Amino acid sequence: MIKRSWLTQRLANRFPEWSNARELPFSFLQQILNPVASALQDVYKTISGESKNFFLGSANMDTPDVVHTLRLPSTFVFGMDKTNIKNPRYLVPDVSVVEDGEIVYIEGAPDNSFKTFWIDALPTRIKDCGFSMNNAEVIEEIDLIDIETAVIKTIAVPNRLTITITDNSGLNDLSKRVGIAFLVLTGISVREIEETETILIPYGGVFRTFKIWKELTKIELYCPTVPTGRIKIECLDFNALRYTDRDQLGVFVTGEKVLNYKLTTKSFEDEGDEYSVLQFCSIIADNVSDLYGGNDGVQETYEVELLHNNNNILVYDMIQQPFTNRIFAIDDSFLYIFEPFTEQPNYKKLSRRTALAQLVIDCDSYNTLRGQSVDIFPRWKTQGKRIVRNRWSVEKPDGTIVYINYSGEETSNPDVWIYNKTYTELLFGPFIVDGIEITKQGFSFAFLQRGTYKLKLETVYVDRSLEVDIVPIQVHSQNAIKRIRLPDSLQNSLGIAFDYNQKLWFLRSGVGYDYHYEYGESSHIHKSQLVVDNMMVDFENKTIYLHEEYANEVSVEETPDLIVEK
Amino acid sequence: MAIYSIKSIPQNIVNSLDEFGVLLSLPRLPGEKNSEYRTRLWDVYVHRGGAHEIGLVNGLTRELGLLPFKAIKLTVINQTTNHPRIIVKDTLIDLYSNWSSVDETLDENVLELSIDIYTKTEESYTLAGLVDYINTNSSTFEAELVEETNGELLSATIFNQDSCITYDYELLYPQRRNKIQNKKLIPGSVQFSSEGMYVFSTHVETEVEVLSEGDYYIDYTNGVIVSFSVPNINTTCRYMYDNLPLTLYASPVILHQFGSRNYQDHIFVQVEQEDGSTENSLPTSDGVSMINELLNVVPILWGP
Repeated sequence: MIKRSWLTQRLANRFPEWSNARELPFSFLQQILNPVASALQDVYKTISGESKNFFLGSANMDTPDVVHTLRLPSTFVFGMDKTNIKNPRYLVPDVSVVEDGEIVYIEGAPDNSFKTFWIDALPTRIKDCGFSMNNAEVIEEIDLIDIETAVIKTIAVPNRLTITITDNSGLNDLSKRVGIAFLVLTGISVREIEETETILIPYGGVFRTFKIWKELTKIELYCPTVPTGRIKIECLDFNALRYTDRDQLGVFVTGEKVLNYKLTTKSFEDEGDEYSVLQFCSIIADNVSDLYGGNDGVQETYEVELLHNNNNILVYDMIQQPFTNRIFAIDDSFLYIFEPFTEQPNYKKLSRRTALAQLVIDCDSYNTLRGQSVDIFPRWKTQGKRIVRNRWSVEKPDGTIVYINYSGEETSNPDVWIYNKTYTELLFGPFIVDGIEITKQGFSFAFLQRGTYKLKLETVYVDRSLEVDIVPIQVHSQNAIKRIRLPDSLQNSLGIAFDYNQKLWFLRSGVGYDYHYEYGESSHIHKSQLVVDNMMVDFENKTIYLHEEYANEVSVEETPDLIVEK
Repeated sequence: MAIYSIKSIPQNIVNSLDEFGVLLSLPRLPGEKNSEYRTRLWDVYVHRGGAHEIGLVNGLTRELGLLPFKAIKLTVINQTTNHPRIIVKDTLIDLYSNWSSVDETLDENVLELSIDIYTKTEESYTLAGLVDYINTNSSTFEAELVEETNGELLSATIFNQDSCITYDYELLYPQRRNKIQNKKLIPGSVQFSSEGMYVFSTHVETEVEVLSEGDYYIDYTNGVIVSFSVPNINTTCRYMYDNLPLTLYASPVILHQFGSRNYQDHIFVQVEQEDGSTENSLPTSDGVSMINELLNVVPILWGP
């Protein structure tokens, strides 16, 4: 599976506006540029992350800080893999430890490199830290007009506060006509000093503070007129139905950075069960002033079916892990880790495509979701030779080929050529086939499998030449890269969120339904620890580096050599 | 195949936070994770270290990865006409039911309790015991242990504090009515800079008496200064105010001034003189262990 970088389109945009390379993501140029763009994207990501480390408040807490070393005795002997006589390799020893009465096996990092040992390492377990406080509410949901007299609760977890304004707040119109309302928060920050912060609220939506608050003492609202709507303030953003990718690491299908993720459900079959779908959203506005005029302009542009082992799942909440492009999602029993990216379709057989074909395929989108339809039309790029006939076909991801007749129906019969009398009939209709008048060529095709569909349009011209246009359409899905069973005390949780120290919290109890939640009397939050049970081995110095600290002694067992049996 | 059981040893890795540590002269402690280290780095400019007492407490606790904590909250239950005051100094906590003004010699200053927090045999030796002692013996103050504070900790962890706080520099705006940052000012403690010598020359008792140039009135309760004339730019004032109710802070690092009279009473056996005063004699057992430990570290001379 090849990942498409968001920088690929940026690089392609350097070419002239008239070039195909800019328009078609599957053009040869963009295929060549993609590996270069991927390398550049890694550089961009590193610079973006490192720049945040210039300030303590935004620094990455997951950077390597402490490793735990095991000094092996001088008598320890590493086993060797001698199956390849020319290239014998050391074998990673068997390492295990007893934690809470259970044996935990510590795996060697792939490639035995620091990058896989720490930076790209995936958690293997989740531990409940047993630290439970009251729920994450700072101010219960109240009318916006009453915010200054609201009861301010103790902040359970110092964090950037999430301010949610809902229900026809009227701020939209206000921002357009009079001025933007704002809140002034006063309190004690996590640095133990008294500070204030101003938060603009130009529309009803979700906002986050920049400062990390430990205690709020006062909230003031400045609004040109009497405000309407409801407001609530929380210290952990559970059930972030729309999550803003503040680190701007998300990938957008046309190459621009994704600004928002959104979790929803869809059914992929008629009247079938609904399963989780991740939506990539972007801010689209005709006018920049609309963004502050109330229309936050967020629209869903691209969707991905979430899977585990190619099976659909239904998750209740998601959150992006800070400083990574990983998304964590939970259901009743498991935590899933996804690494969303734009998949580059399988471009095999595209070489049979005729370069500079006169008649090409035009469609709504090159990306879709299983069960959805895309409208497909022919487009006449250059009018030259007269067209005699054309034929549509589709190669599905499983390799089967179907043909599309003039009515837009699938058939296995390859004899579905559409004969055209004049050029304009082809595109604008009407034209007659077998005595039946067809108003215009075009059809809507339903994509029912995951993977790459190849649409093919064959056109025969009056000089008997044949041109073929092939367009790949990707039906997106993504398997979780990891699934971790939740401990019993964290199962059936309603939501997850990260705090400012990048620790994962779970919301327990309360009332949850349809991706909304309400804090109940029994609601409380649990702090968890993501444990990475892996190691890196220094064979030369007989030292093993562990990612985690274990209370008990670690058992290290020598492994026998692997030899070729004679 | 042989199996070995080995205990792991933490090893620090230098990252961007350690660069901050170099700038702030605060190295990472062995095995310290990023989040805890960041908290200590933030603390450098909040609880500043220095050569004075509170600076030593701040610096020492931070270097050792410890934190000062809230120990006891003292609330005034019997508000008298003048200002009650709490002074923690060395080994004593003095509770004043009346504090007249900045002039400490006035008889109106009534010392209600002087509590020894250093002697092991005293009830007030632990925090919980101290709270009980105050609640039993004081009619002016009420004490309670701050939530999640361990009452078995020593009262000696409470470092020097005062409920009367001196605010050295407050800029006055060029307006006749100035609301300053604090309330409950101590009468007689408000002083103005030289820029205000003509504006604040005659203090009057009520606001209605501010009638001519140089007149000024101070609402001590609400922290308001009213003057007949508008102060010049850069006019500042200095004052003391009550910080009550007071939360006493304690530190896991106990700090005492060796030369203070109160502390020497505990380190040396006190011999009463003819005139009623006391003089130091031989060291007590606590004093002996402390002096020996000092001599082990620093080979100083001892004696007259």
